[in-house]
This record gives sequence, C-alpha cells and structure tokens, in this order.
Amino acid sequence: MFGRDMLRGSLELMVLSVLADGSTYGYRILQRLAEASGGQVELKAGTLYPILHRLEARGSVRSRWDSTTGRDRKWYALTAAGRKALRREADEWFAYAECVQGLLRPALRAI
Amino acid sequence: MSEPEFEHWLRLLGRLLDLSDAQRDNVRRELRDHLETQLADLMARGFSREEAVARALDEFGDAAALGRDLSRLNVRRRWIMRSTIGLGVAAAAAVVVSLFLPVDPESSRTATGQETAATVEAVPDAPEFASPADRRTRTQLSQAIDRLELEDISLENVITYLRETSGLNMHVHWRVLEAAGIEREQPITLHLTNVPLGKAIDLILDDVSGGEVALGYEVDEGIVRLSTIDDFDRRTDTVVYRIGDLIAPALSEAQKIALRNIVTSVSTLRTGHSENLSSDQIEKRLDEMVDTIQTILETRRGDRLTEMIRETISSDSWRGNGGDAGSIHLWHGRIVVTHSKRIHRRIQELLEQLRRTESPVS
Repeated sequence: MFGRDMLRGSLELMVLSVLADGSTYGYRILQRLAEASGGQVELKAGTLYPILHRLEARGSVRSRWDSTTGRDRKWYALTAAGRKALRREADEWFAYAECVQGLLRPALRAI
Repeated sequence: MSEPEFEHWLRLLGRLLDLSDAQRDNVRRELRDHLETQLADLMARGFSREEAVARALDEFGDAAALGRDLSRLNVRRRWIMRSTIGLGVAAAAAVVVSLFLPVDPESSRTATGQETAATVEAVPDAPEFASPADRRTRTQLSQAIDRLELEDISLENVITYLRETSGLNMHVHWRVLEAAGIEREQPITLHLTNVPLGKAIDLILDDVSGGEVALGYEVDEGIVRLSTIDDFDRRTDTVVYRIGDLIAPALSEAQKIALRNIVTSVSTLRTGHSENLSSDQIEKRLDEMVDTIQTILETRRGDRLTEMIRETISSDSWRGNGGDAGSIHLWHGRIVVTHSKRIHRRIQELLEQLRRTESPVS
C-alpha cells in the first residue's frame, strides 16, 4: 500500500481512469483499483465516495440510480468534461513524475 | 464496528457531506448497496455472515480517518477545524443545530435597562445583586435551542461550538476539570430538542462527569464559567440581605397596648402605688419598655431565621457546623452572609419564598 501522502494527489486521477473504461459503481471501482495496482492501492469506501461526490460536483462524472437488477445501485460515468479533465491531469501527472524522476536519479547516485 | 454503529456512522457521514436531506439519503442508499455487495462477495468467498459483516465494516474505515478525508471537502466553517479529532470537529460544523429562538423584542428592551418582570424569564439573581451584564447573560442562557445533536464530539469542541454560536463568553476551568479527571477530548453524545441553553450546558456537563464529580456553571460579570461545584464553592462573596420586613414588627398595635396595660398593672402591684411620675414620664417609660421587648423579639426572630438558613441550606458548609466556607451574622435587621454564589442563590430564593408566604401581622 503506497503511503497516504503519495496517494493523496492522485486518487481522483485514478478514479477517473477507472471510469474511462466505462460506467461503473463504487464497489466495482474499488475492486478495479486493487486489481490494476496488484493490491497496492486498496481504497476504503470512506475514501472513495467523497471523491466520487466531489468529481460529480465538479461535473467530471455523472451518476444515475438503477434498480433494474433488483439492487438499488448508483452508477457513475465520465462526462465530456470529465474526459477532458482526465486527459489534462494525466498530462500534468506524467510531467510531474518526469520532474521528480529527474531529481531522484542523480540524488540516489549521490547518496 | 457493529451494525448499529454502521447506521450511526452513516448518519454522521450524511451530515458531514454538507448535503440536503435528499442528497443525504442518496449517500446512505449508496453505502448500503456497497456494504451489501461486499457482504455477498465475502460470503461467496466462504466467510460466515458474522465474519463478513465484521470485515466489511472494518473496510469502511474508522470514523476519524473518514473525518480527516472529508475535512478536505469544502465544509463550512473551517475555522472550527483545530481539533486532532477530525470527525468531531467536522461534525460540529455540520451538526444540525438551529440557533436560538429569536430574542423576544420585549426582552431586548429589558436588556437595555427597563425591568419588565413579565417578559424576562425567571432570573435567579435579585435585582440588587446582579449586574446588568449578569442579567443579560442569564437571559441568553434561558433562551431555547431548537435542536442539538452531538455524536462523539469532544468536550472542548462542544464548548467552542456553543461559544461561537451563542456569542456568550464561556470560560472553562480546564485545570480544575483535568485534576478532577475530566479531559478536553472526552467525547460527548447527546440529542436535545427545545432546551434552554443553560440546561443544555448542565446536561453536557452531566454527560462528561459520568456522575463521578459534580460540575456546573456560574455567571460572573457576564462570563459563564464552567468548573466543578467544589471550585465554585470555594469562591465566596459577602452579601448583605435586608430581612427587616421578615422579622418585624414583632408586635402588633393591639399587642403593644395589651403589653403596656400589663406592665402598668404589674408595676402598680409591686410598688403598691404608681410611682410619682408625670403621665408623660410614664408614657416614655412604657414606650421604652415596649421598644426593648420588640427588639428582643426581633432579634430572636432574626436568630431563628439565621438558624433556619444554616440548617436548611448546605448545613455542613457553615462555620460552626463543621464547614469553613460560610458565615452568617445578624445585624440590625440585616443578615451579612459570606458564601459561594450557589448558596447565595438559595438564600435569595428562600427569602423570596418567605416573603411570598408571609401573612400580614394581625
């Protein structure tokens, strides 16, 4: 499990990426994150749902209730704005990661 | 976390997310679905229902951690966020409290100086003892809170919250409380509707004391002090109460006349004849005698009143009765009392009751 501070900046980005695959629901998002990260990212429900609500408030995702399967379930999907945000933030993330790598490599050689 | 705790947690979460009722319901629905899906999953993996419930609830994360996460949301009144218990603080901000009922226009006139006994709530301090600041504060304390819901909020945060919302100057004697075993972080759970603020403070103090130590509050120059009763009892004031009306006149006119007749006839009997005094001198002598007898009777009454006070109000706190805090002295139609504010209040009440029930001297 990655350190909390490390994760904090990128949780929303991760959630958006899971949603890029298609409409899904909270529990499933947690599973996907755990699977995709090889068990390294195990979010708790209490962490995920505030993020989803925040994203919805921002207009990056939209939700709908569906009870057709007999289960009262809330499904989330990326909006167009959400897709744009994902692209933009992913770019920023890669740039950031490169920057940090650029600093770390020589530093590790030095110590 | 047990299932009732889950429900409780759900409710809290709903409030913390600063949502409308409809939105809160949505959150609860969603979390319930999550929980049920997880249970189904775990049971499919072979866990018993009990084990599954325990695991599922654990995975929801503890409330404090949730609070810390949620506190990064845009919760109103960030200024309250000073506590290390994120949940308590955030909940205090979002807790369902409606502020006090609007101040009655009548009583605000009262606050600026006019005494309208009809509109002001029963104020324990008699006018001659309470400063205007104290009276204003007591009026505020008597105003009702619509609803107050506290779930695991620390004492310190509750006080901060009440202070900020009521505007009252509240001062907690923390060191005294801590010495008595009451910590700032002690969590309080309380649900109140339509209670006066003063009563709410009492109930909050009852909750943290757990019946172990007596706590209370006092109004002091407009400040509401919170501490142990012992602490307050140790602070004494000296107050002079007028009691002339309660102990005098000891004799009615008819009794005075009868007394004079008795004295006259007794002295005649003793000397065999009336002394060679002018009628003016005789009158003067009789007046003096009646006055002396009156004074003796009044003093006796005063003594009896003093005794009654010492016996009925915190009897073991008076000097001479085993205590060292309180003293009471009769002095010319007044009593001079040194004691804590709490005891003074009880004395005032007693005197008021005596006055109310006093029948006119026949």
